[in-house]
Amino acid sequence: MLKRLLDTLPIKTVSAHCDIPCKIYDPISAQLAAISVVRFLDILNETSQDDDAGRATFSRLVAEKEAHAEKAKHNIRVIWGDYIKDPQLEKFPELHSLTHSIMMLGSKCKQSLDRSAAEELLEKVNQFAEIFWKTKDVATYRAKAPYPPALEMVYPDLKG
Amino acid sequence: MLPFLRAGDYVLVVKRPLKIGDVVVARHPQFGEIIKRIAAINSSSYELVGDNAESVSMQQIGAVPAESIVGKVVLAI
Repeated sequence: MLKRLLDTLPIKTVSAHCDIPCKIYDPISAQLAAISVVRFLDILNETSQDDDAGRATFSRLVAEKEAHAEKAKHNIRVIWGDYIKDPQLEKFPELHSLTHSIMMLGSKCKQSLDRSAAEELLEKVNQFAEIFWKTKDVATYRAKAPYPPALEMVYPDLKG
Repeated sequence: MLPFLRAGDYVLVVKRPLKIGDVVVARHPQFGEIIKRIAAINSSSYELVGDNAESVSMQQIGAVPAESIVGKVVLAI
């Protein structure tokens, strides 16, 4: 009743939060995007451009490779920009330079067909994941992804 | 500003002398009209902070000049 009365008044809205504090942060989305870049490069290597179908597949793979490199950059940027604050930076001052190197490598993966750059991107994103879980006092382990290209990924040990 | 305020709550804001811990409405050049708590009072500005860790930090908000403070919350429904 009171709310209905208040709704009729010219009341302004003010904001308590300037971002949606969903608290759902997980570097796995960046890790999956980074390992996908390697996978797309591998499939690109196997794709013949001798006919229209091959050329169409090639184009799609290039587009997806770039989209996933951008996705890796985006997901790291969100954690870095929204989750990482002074307490995490004091403990892990390398976060800024690590994040910057991920941005640079992500761009290199968009521009080139360099598999070593994509592997390095994945490794840096893995390192970011290790630090992220450390800030939450969650132990991590490294294991080969159970799908191609079967590269090493960092996983949180949530049972610990 | 949980648990003090939830989204959709109504607040009555009036001009009153301010002290540390007061919840105020302020105009911010970047964030618009915001509602935050006073963490520190300087000679002509205020440092505001949200009640939750996920809120924008004091550093991001910066010092808010006294004239940008609309008033303090005296009633919340």
